[in-house]
Amino acid sequence: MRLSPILLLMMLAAPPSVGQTTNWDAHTLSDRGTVRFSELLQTLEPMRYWSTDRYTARMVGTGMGGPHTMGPSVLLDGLPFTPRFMDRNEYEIIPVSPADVENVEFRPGFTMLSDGRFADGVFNIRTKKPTGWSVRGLVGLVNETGDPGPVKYTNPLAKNIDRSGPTSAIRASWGNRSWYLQAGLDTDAFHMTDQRIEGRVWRIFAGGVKPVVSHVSQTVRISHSSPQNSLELGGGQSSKNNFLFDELAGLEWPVTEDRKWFKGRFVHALGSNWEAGISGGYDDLKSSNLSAQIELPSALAIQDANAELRLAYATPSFSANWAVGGRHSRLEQANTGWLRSQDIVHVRSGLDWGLATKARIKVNGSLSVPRLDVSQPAAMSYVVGGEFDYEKRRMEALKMGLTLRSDRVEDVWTTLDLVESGVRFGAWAPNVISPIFDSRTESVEAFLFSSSSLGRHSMFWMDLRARRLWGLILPERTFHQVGSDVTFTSDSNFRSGRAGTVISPRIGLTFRSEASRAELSYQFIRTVADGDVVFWKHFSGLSPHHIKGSFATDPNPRLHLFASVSINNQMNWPEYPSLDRSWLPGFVQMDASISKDFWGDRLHLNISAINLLNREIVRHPAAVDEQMAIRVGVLVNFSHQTSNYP
Amino acid sequence: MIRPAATLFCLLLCFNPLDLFAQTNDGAIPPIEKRAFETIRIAVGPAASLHAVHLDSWTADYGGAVKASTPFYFGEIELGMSILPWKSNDPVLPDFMSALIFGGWFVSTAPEKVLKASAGVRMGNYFMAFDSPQVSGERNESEFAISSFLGIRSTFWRGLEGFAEINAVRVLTTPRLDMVSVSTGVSITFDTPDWLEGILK
Repeated sequence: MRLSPILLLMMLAAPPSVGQTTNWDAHTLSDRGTVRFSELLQTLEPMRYWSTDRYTARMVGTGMGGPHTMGPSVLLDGLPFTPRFMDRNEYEIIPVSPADVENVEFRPGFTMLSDGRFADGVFNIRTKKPTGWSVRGLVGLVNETGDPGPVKYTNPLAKNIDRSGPTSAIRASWGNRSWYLQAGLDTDAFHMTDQRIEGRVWRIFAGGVKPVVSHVSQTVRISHSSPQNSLELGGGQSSKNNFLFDELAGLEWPVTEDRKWFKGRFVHALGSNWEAGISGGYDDLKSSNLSAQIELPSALAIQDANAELRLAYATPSFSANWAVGGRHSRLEQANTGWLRSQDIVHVRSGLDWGLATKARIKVNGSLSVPRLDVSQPAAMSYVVGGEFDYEKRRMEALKMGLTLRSDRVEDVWTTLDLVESGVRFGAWAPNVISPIFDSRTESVEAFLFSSSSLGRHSMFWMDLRARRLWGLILPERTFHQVGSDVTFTSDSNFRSGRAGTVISPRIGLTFRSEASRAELSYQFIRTVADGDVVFWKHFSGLSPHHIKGSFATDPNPRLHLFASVSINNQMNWPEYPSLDRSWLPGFVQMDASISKDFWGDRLHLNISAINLLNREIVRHPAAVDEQMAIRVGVLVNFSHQTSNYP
Repeated sequence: MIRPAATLFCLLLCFNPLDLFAQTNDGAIPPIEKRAFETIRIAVGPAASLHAVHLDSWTADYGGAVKASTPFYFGEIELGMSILPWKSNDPVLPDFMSALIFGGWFVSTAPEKVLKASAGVRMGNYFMAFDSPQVSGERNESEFAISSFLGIRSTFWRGLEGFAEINAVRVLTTPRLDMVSVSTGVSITFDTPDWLEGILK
């Protein structure tokens, strides 16, 4: 039996992780009316996130890694694509708009991707590839209500409220059943006019320039698919101005991030069951500072290249894959010089074995080691997982699994690695105390997933998950508020050997009929620190009780309605000891969207009300107080066919 | 304090939902989706403010409103703009011109009746252009606004109708600007051009 190239590409791209996956199709996602890819990810059911500014979302997956994890990685049509910097995955600059997305799959848990990096959860994104000539674009604007209006003349101190956008994504493409070529341009802007953000940024920014976070990205993509071969290539560059609040410094950073990137993957069929693939990528980041009132970290240059060879064997009841690869990373800082060069090799393998028609066993393992230490087991990092699946019938399944991970910090994209490498942060973060880096982080995660059918259209599910971590290197820091709400200082004194446990049961209901879809879920997160105050302080910050519900319906094929509600109880941020900031009140967020298709499928208009209740929402001690906002999105699409996927 | 949501709720209670599906003059019940976007009604007339909260330093002069509406899958939808000039009561403060550009949805009583009543909601942007600049040099402000309204209209010749309506508007500034305004005028209804109907559908 021969696998189709697209299926094979997805199989080779699929991370060898274990755990329950969740899928959303284009129709389900477009109802939500989001205008940014990062906004779209926030709306997905398991996603927990926080933000200091209503723009840069810190998405932390299901929250098992605490609120400071870098978040899930992104696979874009099978290519690892997660822009990183300073401990965060910058989802807001990924050059994908919600209108591009054909399907999103989310898989929680530890894994290693083909670029040799560990990921804590993966978004597997498949994009639309229309046939024939196609020109399409999305323009969006989010405006928070509460500007002073005429009161500006009676109270000159009254400030405008944040405006987000315009954000735009333009695509021009040509494709047939074999080839697909696309050129894209993405732009975005976020105006930091909120009183709280302005108070902070003007301690740092200089030059009388309005503090606006802006982003421009140009991309080119080529795909080829035939019975024998499958090819996916992409390249581009992007520039982002201004970096919002970072907890290492407790301040914003007026910096420009210039990136260049190239990614590729080629898969070739070797007979009826065997396939071979090669993949690789290159990322280049250069930072340069904008006008500032204090000394900033001098310019950083980070280059990262990776490649992997992969072999896969598949029959209907059995599949296996093996891969070997490596990556080279280089870090340099102006005025400091060359700081670090890393060569790391890795191997990955996976096995999926059907025991009977309804039961399967999956086993996956990945291992990486610095090239110079390949003979030393102590230098190795690994992740190993096993899973048992039993699917009684449609919507009735039982899954259980266990994952072990053990690794050393070896990634130039993490703040910890920058500190270890000797990067100097200047007066921006003067009190970073370097730790002794001989620590190994280890973790074990177990999960049990069960789903039961409640009829033709609805399902009840339960996901029990627990993660134990040892040997973490965490900053012991305190954010002092001096005088006003907008002044922070921090000392980041990294401590090694931190340990604790996170336990999280989730339950939910899903309903899906031809015209309507509904989801309701509840999550409880419990952090057990066993007296480790550093771990406890670092892992607090997410609401322990979290309820999320959504309802979407199509009164007719050209009109779409969507509403969602998120209920979070109070949360504790003990790193901010001031009484009015360490405990944040719970909040209820209600959003509603209405979308209408015009002119066939060529024009799509969406209007959303975000935080419909107009109640104050504070997601983080340093965050702006969110008020009701209106979001408008216009999608124009001139395509022969919306997708070449059947 | 005017509460647009409460006002709308009370107004909608005055309507019989069955009127949405009322029979036409020939006795046939047209399919809702077939009726959608079939006609366009354009209305124009003067407008005036009756009451405003948090605008004590300004007094509204007479303005005007123009709007276009068309049947939707349920009820009707509209696009429109109303303009009001505001004169300052304080020589230190500038005059300003306001323009509310809105989209809306409303329901009406049965179309065969001579006198038809309507109630609905609108959402839009409230633009303000001031006569003198602020400290920052800017002359313009804008903010989202929501409103609910109640109206009556009567046919006096073929597609020509007279109308009157009262609006409760909330501009979502801080502090909120709450206003009550009225507008009257005439409207004309005609068949939607095929090309436009194709786009709207």
